Amino acid sequence: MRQTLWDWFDERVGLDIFERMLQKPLPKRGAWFYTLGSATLTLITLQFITGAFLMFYYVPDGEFAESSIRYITEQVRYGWYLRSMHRWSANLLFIAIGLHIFRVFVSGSFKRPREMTWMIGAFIFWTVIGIGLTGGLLPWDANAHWIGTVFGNTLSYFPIFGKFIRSALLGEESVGTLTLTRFYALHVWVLPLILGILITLHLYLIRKHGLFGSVIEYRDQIRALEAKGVPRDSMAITQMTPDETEPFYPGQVFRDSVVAFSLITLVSLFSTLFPFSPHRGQEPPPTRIIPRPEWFFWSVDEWLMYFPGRLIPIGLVLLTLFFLFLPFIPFVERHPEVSPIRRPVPTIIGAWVYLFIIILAMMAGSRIFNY
Amino acid sequence: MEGSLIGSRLAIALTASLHSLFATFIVGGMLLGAVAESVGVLTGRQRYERLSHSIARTLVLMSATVAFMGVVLVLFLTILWPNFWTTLFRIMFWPLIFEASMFLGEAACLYPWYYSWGRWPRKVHLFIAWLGATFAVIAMTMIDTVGSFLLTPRPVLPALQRMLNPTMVQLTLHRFAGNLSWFGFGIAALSAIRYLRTNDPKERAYHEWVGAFAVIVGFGFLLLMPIIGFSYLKAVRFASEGAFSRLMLGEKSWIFVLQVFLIDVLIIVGTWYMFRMATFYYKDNLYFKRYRLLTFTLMGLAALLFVTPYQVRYIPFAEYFTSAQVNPLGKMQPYKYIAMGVLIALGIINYGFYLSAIRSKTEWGGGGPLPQVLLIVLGLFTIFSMINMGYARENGRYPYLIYGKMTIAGEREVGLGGSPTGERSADQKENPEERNPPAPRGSESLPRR
Repeated sequence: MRQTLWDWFDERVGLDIFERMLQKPLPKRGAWFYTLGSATLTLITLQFITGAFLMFYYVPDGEFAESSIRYITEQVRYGWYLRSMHRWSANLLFIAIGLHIFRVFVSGSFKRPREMTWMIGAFIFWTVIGIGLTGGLLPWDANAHWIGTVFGNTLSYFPIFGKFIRSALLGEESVGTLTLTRFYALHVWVLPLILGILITLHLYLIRKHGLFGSVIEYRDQIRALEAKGVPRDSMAITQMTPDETEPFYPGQVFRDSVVAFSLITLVSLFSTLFPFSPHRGQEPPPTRIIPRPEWFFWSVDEWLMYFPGRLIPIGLVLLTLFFLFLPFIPFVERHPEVSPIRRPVPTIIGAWVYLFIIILAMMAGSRIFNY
Repeated sequence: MEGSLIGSRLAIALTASLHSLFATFIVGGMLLGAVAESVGVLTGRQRYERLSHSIARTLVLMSATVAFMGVVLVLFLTILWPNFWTTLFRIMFWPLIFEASMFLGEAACLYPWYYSWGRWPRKVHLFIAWLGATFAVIAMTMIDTVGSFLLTPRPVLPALQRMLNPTMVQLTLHRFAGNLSWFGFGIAALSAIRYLRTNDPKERAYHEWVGAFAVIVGFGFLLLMPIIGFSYLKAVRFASEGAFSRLMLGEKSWIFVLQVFLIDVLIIVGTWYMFRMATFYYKDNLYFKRYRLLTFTLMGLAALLFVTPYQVRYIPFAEYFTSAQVNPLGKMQPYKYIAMGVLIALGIINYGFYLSAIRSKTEWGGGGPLPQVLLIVLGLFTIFSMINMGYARENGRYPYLIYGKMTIAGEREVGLGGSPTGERSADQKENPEERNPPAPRGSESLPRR
């Protein structure tokens, strides 16, 4: 019966493609590090699912948005839980994606022929940031209102196009219903659609080129080539196959499942213990509200604090250049060497950038905690 | 009475400066020693092994000194400033106890790390090194909690608010980067002295390499310092405005100008060293000389703008040269920001060039004495900078011992035999305005010195 069903589907759908995917060889060593990618995917999936449920009740209208959030949290059965799941998974997503990018960068896994995989990964990162930014306005409370105002005003400092970007995003002079509908459309339709396409492409390329093994795995092959007199610089390590591999199923499937299950449990636990709730009680007067960005934007917030007054455009341009530079890293660092120790310049610069981002975030966190 | 007060302040200043100078060196050393040993294991290069071993030896020698100075400091605090010390210890009991325990843990790792070299399994040895480094960083964080509370205190309860006061994170980050920078330049200066004292080509090659490696750490973290420092000062301004005014606009603003001068020297001399060491790599490049000239010209101009004082009236001996009270060119915004931005941006670019060149350097030891002299200058100016910064932070809160909560006058009632004026301490004053005056000493209303 089972075989008959399999054959029936195989004839019509072509199930052998899944079988081939499950048998795809993967590097054995460092396999747990590869789960960072699937952890990111798990959290994005969780975002899609919980976000879809929230859409059932959320009203993207200036008059009703905040009360609909309150309704979700207080009236809808398990609404508070789903909303908290949505927010907690968004928080963890930024950690997972940051670690994933760091792993890929340090291990040189973006090098030939995986440049496109990296580029699309960088686009995914941009999109996730966009979703995070637009999502911050949807609760439509006082803080969200001020986040929108600060965000719009900051963008207006952008040279030449600043005013245009601001009016295109806000829809009117100040944050209002038009702003909310635009942010909502971006948050639930435009950006998730782009994200879905990018993730499909990213997964396709990973399947095509396979995962890059840890540097240690290629050591014996490198030594053998060196013994034959092949210079180290000309070895395209990223195109070799690791000596020790295993099929995707069952080993990696098991590891990915463990990580996915643990993450869902963690998000669920956080949502139960520390649920997000709309502001209750009397709201402080508008002059007393200090806009507080989400923690994953703290480093950006602190960075812009270094460019007060007329210097803001410089900070904005530098920040934009940094984000624009990300997809092109494989074309700047083209040397075939992948070992982080043997390519100290990129390793040191990469470590600096991460350290700097963490330092900025910590300083902003301290400021936000105290005021 | 005044004599005893000056003597008490001097005793604390000397012991605290010496203690913190050694302690910060040890924190940076523990971290860099663990990194050097790890790199040595990963690459199999002997020179990293030798470097980490030398670092361990230096730290073992220093550890006893820092412990001694710490005990002397506590002794002086207990004898000379009993009111202040009792109050502080009562508020910061757990951080101080935790800090002492972490120092003990650090020492308990440091000695086995050095004495078990080559005897213990490598993984265990590395674990001990990293554990010691972790203890050192935690100890530093705890003492920073106490130090930052003195300048920007928050209500004693809840404990989290007391610990995470407005400048705690900034001070910890500033010291973390500063300790690594100080250790980097310190070890570079020591290796430069060793280089100049030996004629053995192998030894010279090793010491020149140590200097070049240590500058990667020292200069790299130096570039972070003004950025974190800016955030630190901003936090001080929001939390303890009187202290900020005193330091940046008041009678002690000359300390900030001096600090800027020291930073200028460190960045320019560091760049000079990096260019000197990278010449072999870029000497055939037609644009190298032009770029170097342009860099130094821009850096010189930026350094000049950066060091230009705003409050001229508080610069010692300035009255002999000018009658101006303030200098508009010395304003923080935008002039000092632009100057700092130029210095840091050029520093980052040149740091990148230096890293690219150094990774290709295979022949060491023939660089001559000039780069080594530059390293010694860097080491010395780092020490001046550390002492100056410590002096600035501790003087910023004058006349308070704990800003807005406890004054020197309050201490004198108990510790130094009673106040001659019979003035109540800040804590005893009922009016909050009196406890934390809106225009404390150091604000712009002060007369010309």
